[in-house]
Amino acid sequence: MEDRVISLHIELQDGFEDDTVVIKVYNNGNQIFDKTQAHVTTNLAISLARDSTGQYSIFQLTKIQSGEVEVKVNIPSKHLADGYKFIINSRTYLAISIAEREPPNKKIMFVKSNEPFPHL
Amino acid sequence: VTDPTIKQVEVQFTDQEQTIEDMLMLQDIELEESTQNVIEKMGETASLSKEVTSPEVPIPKPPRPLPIPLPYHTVSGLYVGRGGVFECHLRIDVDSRNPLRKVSGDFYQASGSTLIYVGSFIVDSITLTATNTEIRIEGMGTYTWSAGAPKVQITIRRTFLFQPRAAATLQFFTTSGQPGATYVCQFTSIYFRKVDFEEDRETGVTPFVSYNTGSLPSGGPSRILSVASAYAEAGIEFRISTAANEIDNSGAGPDAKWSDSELHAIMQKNFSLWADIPQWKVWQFAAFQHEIGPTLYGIMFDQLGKQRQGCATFYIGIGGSTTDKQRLQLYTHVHELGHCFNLLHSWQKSLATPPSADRPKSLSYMNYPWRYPDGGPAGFWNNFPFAFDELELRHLRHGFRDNVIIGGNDFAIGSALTAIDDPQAFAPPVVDGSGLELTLRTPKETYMLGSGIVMEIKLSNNGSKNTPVVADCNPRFGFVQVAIRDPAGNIYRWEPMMQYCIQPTITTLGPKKPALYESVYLGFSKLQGVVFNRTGTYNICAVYSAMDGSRVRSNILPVVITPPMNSTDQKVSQLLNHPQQVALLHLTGSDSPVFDEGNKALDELLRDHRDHEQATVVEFVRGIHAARNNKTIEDGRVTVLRKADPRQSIELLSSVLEEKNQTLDNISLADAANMLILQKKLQGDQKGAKSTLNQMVEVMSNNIKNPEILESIKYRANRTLESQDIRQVTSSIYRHRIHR
Repeated sequence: MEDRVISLHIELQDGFEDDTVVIKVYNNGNQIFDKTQAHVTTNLAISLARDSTGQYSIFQLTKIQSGEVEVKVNIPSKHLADGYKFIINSRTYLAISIAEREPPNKKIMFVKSNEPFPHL
Repeated sequence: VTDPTIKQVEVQFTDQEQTIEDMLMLQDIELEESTQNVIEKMGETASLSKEVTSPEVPIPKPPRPLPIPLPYHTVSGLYVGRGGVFECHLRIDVDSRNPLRKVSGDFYQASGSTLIYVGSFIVDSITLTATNTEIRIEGMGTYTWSAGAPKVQITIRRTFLFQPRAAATLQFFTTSGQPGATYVCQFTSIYFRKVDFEEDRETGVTPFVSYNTGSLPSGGPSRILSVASAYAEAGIEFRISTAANEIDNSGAGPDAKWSDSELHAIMQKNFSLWADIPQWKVWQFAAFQHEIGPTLYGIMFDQLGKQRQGCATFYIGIGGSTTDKQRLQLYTHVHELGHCFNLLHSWQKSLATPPSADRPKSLSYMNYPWRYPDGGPAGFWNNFPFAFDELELRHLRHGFRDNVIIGGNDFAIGSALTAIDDPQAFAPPVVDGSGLELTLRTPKETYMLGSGIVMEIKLSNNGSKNTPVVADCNPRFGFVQVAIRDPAGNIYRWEPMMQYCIQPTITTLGPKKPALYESVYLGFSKLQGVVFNRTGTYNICAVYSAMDGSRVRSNILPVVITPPMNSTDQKVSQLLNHPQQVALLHLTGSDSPVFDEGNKALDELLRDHRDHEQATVVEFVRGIHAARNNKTIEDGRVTVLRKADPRQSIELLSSVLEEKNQTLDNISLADAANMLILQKKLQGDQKGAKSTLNQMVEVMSNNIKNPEILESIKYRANRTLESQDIRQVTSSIYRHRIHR
């Protein structure tokens, strides 16, 4: 496996309403990121979530080794948990949203892209 | 759009003007098509029942005749007229550019020197008829209030292009056809709404001017669009402010980035038209970069106070002179201003209150090209007509005023004042020429849960003209109404236990006597019982109904309720935060057996927690109450159940005056002092009474800086000291207070 150092950009986008969000990232089996953010709410004006202090939910992970990445997301306030595995070889952008407002269709949605996600 | 009826009336984007004849033909064709559909379906049903399998022969539809241009004026636009105390702003949208075939309107009430928004209506489904001389529009309206005559009929005389445009006569009818109000509204504008637009820019940023939509493939006709002309196509007139500023951010260093709070602050400082009220004025800031980074193209950042008044665009992401960048700039600028008009992203419409269907495939300014499901950005741009979608146009042109107006309802919220019967009861007036000001204040900003909160009400006239006012501005007399928004966002009217019907006392406010003061205990309301029953921030607002009918709205007063911090606070909070106790404080005491439990709790508080600052409120109430006899009527005779106890009154009120924490407002303190002076006089202690007067002056001198007010308080106390008419002194104190 190619041993390159690349970056992963994670952001929380739609569907958050005063939620606690736990994000854990594993790279080739090793945990490299563990973040809990409380009171996360989507700013509908730009479709990007932020916490109660106004800190936007954008996480820049550098020093990712090419290979497998697994992102595990737990949202206890909505009784949701899910994971997303992919192979990373270059700079990658990952958007995490809560799809559908009401149960039982409510789920965590991951969108991966090689391009950044513009907002306005 | 899942509603087939909306699909039927959808009008494709066109830069051609539609005449009334076009619209009538469209209406006839739709009627014919719907009739044909019914016939075809009936035929299908008949075919199925008869099991006939012969192929259907399509019935040719009549070709749509070409419109014959007629030299008539179009009638769409804004009309304004008055009927009685109401002013109507009527929007007719039946011809001209992209007609939606709707009418709507806003009503304002002229009340004295103020113009107050009353409510809005819309007629979504209209019947249009026209002769050579007249156009008639009919339909059932939807209202922000319960309308007694909801059917709408509008008639407009047809005029030729060389004639002045005719007025529109708006008449309402009950559902049984009885005529209601009529308004004759004069033509005012071809636009449905007018907005003052001010654009500032950061030094070094070259802001967008215009884009030719034919420069790159698109879904609409080629035309040159600026921000103003894009909104003109939507029916909104942008009047460009000349007060544009260039904002120098060089002091923040080469890496200066804007945060949301900085943008809000810079808006308040630089937006020359800014005010924290709903108004048709909007600010856009062409900046370089937000702290989120270059992927943030723009933001409607204003989600504090009155929201949606400002937005910003960021040229690190959208700047440049290439055609695709110019296209992006037009789209971004119009998109952000769309948020200022309370439009949500196309795929988030279900998050609005009330929700509507998400429209991720909408070819609208409010969608993201990179989220477009049919081909991504290329699919979006190649089909994008540079327009809002039809439902967004409906919102912009015909949405209920507070849902659209800049600084109106909060972003994504349809209506906030849901718990008050009249949602506009506490809205600021659109025009206020009354010259009066109503100010609310409390001695402190933060109170422990259970605290007795007393609010001061000040009615003032800061002008040079004398204005007659009702002197009784205590809310229990009904000339001042109070509303409270609790931490959960619920809004309700504060009501005293008993509303007093009085012959109002008239006084004059002017240079010689600029203000009136009143004091009201807020902890109890007739409908809610305990008002401050949870921790968090409450917001209080009041409206004074002036003699000329003006409605003078107060400041919004925040009151923060904090949890008890220790075991003593907890106990005091428990002893006070109960419907019986707050009712006793509201009534300034009572001997009724109904309040036995409440009186026991207050006794316990005075016995065990006399040092607690909240004991002062109880001492005050009990001190005033002890000074009067408790009477009842038995067998037609007045009997004294409990005699006044001047000694107890003196003991309690003396303690109130010595209190250092400013728990009570100045008016209550002055009442306590006057009662204390009176009680000492009754006891023959003239020296003590004089000493109390001096003590009160000392306390008040620390609290009140205005010498005229201080003088009037001293004057009143001297009158109490010298008066031989005990009843008059007592009634002047009790006039401020609820008593049994």
